[in-house]
Amino acid sequence: MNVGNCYPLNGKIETEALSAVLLQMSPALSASSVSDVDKNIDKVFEYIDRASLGLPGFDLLLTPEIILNGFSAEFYRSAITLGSSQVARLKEKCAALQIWAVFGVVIDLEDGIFPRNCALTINPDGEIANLYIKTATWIPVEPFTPGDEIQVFDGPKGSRIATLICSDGDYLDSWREAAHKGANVICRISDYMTPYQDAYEITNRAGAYFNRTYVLATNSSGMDESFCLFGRSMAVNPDGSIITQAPEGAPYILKADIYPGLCDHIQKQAFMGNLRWQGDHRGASSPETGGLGRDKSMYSYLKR
Amino acid sequence: MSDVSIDHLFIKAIGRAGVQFPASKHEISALLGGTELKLSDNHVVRASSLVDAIGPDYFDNGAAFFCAYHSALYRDTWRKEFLSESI
Repeated sequence: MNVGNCYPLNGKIETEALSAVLLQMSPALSASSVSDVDKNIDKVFEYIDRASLGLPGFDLLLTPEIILNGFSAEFYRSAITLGSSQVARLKEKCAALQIWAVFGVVIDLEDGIFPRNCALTINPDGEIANLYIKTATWIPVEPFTPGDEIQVFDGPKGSRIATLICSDGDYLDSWREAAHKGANVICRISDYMTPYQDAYEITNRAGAYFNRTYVLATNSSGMDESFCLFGRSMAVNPDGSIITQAPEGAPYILKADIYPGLCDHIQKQAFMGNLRWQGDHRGASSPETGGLGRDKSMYSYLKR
Repeated sequence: MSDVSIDHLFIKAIGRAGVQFPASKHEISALLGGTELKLSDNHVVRASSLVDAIGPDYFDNGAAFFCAYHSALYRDTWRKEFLSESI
C-alpha cells in the first residue's frame, strides 16, 4: 500500500500492530435446536485452537456470519440468549486465550420479537464488548428482525471497530456510517454465496477505499442445504488494496497484521484522498469556493 | 530554467515544520516561521505567506488544508501578484 497518494504522508506515525485471524469455515451442521449450537461451537473452538497453535499471540478473531447456527429454514429455532450456556462458553474461551473475538450468531433477546442476526464481540476479559444486530438483512430471503444502529467500539491495539454482517455491506450507507462514527477497522462477517464472488470483493474494497478504513472480511466456505459459500475472506488496506486473501471454496485460517494508528494518521494528515471530507466539500481547491467547497445539497436522493 | 514546483517545496516545508492536523492557520504559520521556498535563483517566497493567503482559519485534516491552499494559490489576482513578488 502507498500510505500516501500523489503526496507523501507527512509526520511521525505511531501505531500498534493488530494481529487478526479470520476463520473461513462452515458450521458443523445447520442447527435446528439450541443444543445443536454446541456442536457448532465445538467446531469453531477447534479452529480457534488451531489458530492459537499456528498463529500464536493474535489479538482479534472473526468467524463468518451465523456460524453458530448455520443458515437453514430452522435457524430461528436455534437462537440463543445472551445468558445461555453457549454464550458462557464463548466468554470463557476468549478469556482463556486473552483474545477479542467476533462471533456470528442468532440471538433471542427474550423480548418476544423474532430473533436477530448478530455479531457478538467478546473481549479478553470474557465480557460482551458489543452486540451488533444486522441492520440491512438479506431481503427477501432473510426474515430476521433488523437492528437500527451501526455501532463503533474500542477494540485492541488502537482499533475502533464496527461490525457489519454480510448484506449490510451491499449498502454504501453502512460503511459510511461506520466511518463517520470513527471506525478505523470495519469487520464484515458474511455467509456470502455464489454467484456473488465479485460483488463480495468489490464491496469490501470499495468500503475500505471510500472511507479510508481497514476492512477485515471473513466468509463461510462450503455447501449448506441451499448455497455454495465461496470463502475468499480478505483483509483490505485503507486504499482498497488487498493485504491478503483466502482461497475460494476451501476452509482456511487467514492472518493479517494491520495498523489502526496508520489508518488514523491517513484520515487526519493526508493532503489528498479524504473522500468523506472531500465529498462534502466539492471543488474545495477552486478559487471560486474559497477553500471550503460545496456541500452535498445538489444530490436529490439525499433530500428524500 | 523554470521554477521548482511550489507544491513540492511547500509540502517539504510543511513536513519539516512538523505540522499536524487539525490545526489553525495561525499555528501552521507559526510552525513555518521564516522558512523560505527557493523556486529559482531570483524567486523566493516565504512559506508562511502562502498560509496567510488561505481563506479558512482552521483545518480539520490535511485534505482540507491543501484544498484551501490550492484555492488561494489559484486565485488569479493573488497568484499574479504574489508569484511575481520576491522577498
